[in-house]
Amino acid sequence: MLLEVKDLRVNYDVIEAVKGVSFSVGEGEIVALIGANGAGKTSILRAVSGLADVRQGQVLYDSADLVGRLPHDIVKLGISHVPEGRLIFANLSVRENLLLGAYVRDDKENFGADLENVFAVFPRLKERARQIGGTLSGGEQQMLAVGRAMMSRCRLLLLDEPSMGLAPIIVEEVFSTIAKLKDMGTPILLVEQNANMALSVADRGYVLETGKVVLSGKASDLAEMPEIRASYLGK
Amino acid sequence: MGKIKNYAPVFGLFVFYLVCMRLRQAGYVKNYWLQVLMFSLINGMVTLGLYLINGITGQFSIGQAGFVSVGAYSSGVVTTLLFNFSSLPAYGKPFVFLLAVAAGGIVSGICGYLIGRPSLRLKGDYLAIVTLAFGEILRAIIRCIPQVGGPRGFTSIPRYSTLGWIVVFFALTVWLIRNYIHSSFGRACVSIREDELASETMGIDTTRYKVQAFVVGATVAGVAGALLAHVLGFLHPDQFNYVRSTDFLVYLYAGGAGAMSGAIVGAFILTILPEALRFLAGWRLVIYGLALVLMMLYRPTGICGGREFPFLVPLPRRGAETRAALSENG
Ligand SMILES: Nc1ncnc2c1ncn2[C@@H]1O[C@H](COP(=O)(O)OP(=O)(O)O)[C@@H](O)[C@H]1O
Ligand SMILES: [Mg+2]
Repeated sequence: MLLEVKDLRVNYDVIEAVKGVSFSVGEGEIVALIGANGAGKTSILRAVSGLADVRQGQVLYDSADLVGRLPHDIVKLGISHVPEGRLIFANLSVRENLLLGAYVRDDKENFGADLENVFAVFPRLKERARQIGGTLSGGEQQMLAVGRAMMSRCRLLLLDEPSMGLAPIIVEEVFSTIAKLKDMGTPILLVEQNANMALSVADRGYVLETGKVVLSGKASDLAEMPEIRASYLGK
Repeated sequence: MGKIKNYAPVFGLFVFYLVCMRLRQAGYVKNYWLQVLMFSLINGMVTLGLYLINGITGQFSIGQAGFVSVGAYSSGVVTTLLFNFSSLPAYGKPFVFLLAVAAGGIVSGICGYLIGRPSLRLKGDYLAIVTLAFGEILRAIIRCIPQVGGPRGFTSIPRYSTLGWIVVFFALTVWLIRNYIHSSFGRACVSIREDELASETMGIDTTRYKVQAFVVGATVAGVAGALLAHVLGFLHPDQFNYVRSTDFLVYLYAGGAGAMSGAIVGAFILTILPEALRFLAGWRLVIYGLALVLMMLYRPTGICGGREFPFLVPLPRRGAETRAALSENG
């Protein structure tokens, strides 16, 4: 397994946000963590990328434990985190944002080709390469955040609620690019409240409730389960 | 082609220096104004250091005068206590002077590391509080050291800084800061200013780059302090209180914290203006204050408003073809 999380616990002072969660992501796989607001999804991603303190458990990446490593070291190991709310650099141009995504790499000679690669996936970013990040629409900002993560040539992509705050038609567009990334072979750990969309692109899924995994399985099976359809798919 | 253009500013500064000296010889420029010019250049250096910390990296340091005093006092120690400057042979003086300037920069840089390392690890306004306290504590400490004159002031420092020396160090500072902000260090600093959390997710070691920029800013202030000590010949701890620190902040923000030009222009105009207004006697500070208020009202982004003098942006150098290529295909 590329990523194997075992019995992960994350606390904020006295609040237990994640209470012993285990899951894994294999090569070339999209794994979805779905759950309502406050279920602990963001905390899990932050723990994997080193932004949150882990109280207990292991985050094995290529069988090496990441717990206790600093965020910038984890990026260098090939894990790229697109945080909740996207956090693009609002005062920098699209191109500057993308180039900062490649900050950890020293093969400058390949930046041009990789930029073209990002522009091929997101043609709208190409048209707006000189535009200031903060002036992009919400969907474009999400694409920029994903494109910026691609520029790091990561081996594992962590996506936190890419659909958040976007119009349904834009959500479709974002998810079709997530499917494209999968075809390009990038494994993705996808966190979503929008279970419908998440399960439609994922291979496997885990359902979280108040910091615990309550269900897991193949995404297509999860999407058929009556309890999930009732609580998360609104059907 | 590009080479010649690259050296134009250096050449310009050299011509400027020759013209100043010529005018002084001819009696058109009094020594007094030459000294004001020296202060402008020194203040420009300090403000450039502050620009790297506050303008580029987005941290809020408000104790820059503390680093100037560290540089001034430690360089004074080298030229008065370690060496007896006046009894040195003429050929030895430049070396000891350079040693003193280096000592000023190094000691100040070390102080920068010692206070920056713990306070920059945290996000928030700790740096402002710590730098302010640093300047004030330093003043109290200097008062307790009789070897550097304590509360009476540090006298008999050789007045060895000339306009020539200062022009050279100013040019070095401009060159250093310009290359720093256009390097990968500089890009990391800018991204930290824009969004610290996002920078971390880009793999940028935010603490390291913040501390690095802070140490460079402190070192530049220390070098400027060393030059200042050897212009004045006399230092007093109260010269470097928090009011002096505020001056540097005013230079930076009035000039425009969005560009190096702002730091330089701000320091020059606001060093020269109070001197030029001396004929107004008591009204001088009123007019100076009014000028500042008007400036902030009509040019809230500073005199330069974030625009850079062209020579402060490096031409794409060799090895950076990729960057040039990237900006073409967009
Ligand atoms: N910085 C924080 N400080 C304190 N509590 C937090 C913090 N971040 C999240 N929490 C709490 O942890 C729990 C899980 O939050 P989060 O991981 O953001 O969930 P999700 O992303 O699934 O909405 C929530 O109860 C939330 O209030
Ligand atoms: Mg969340």
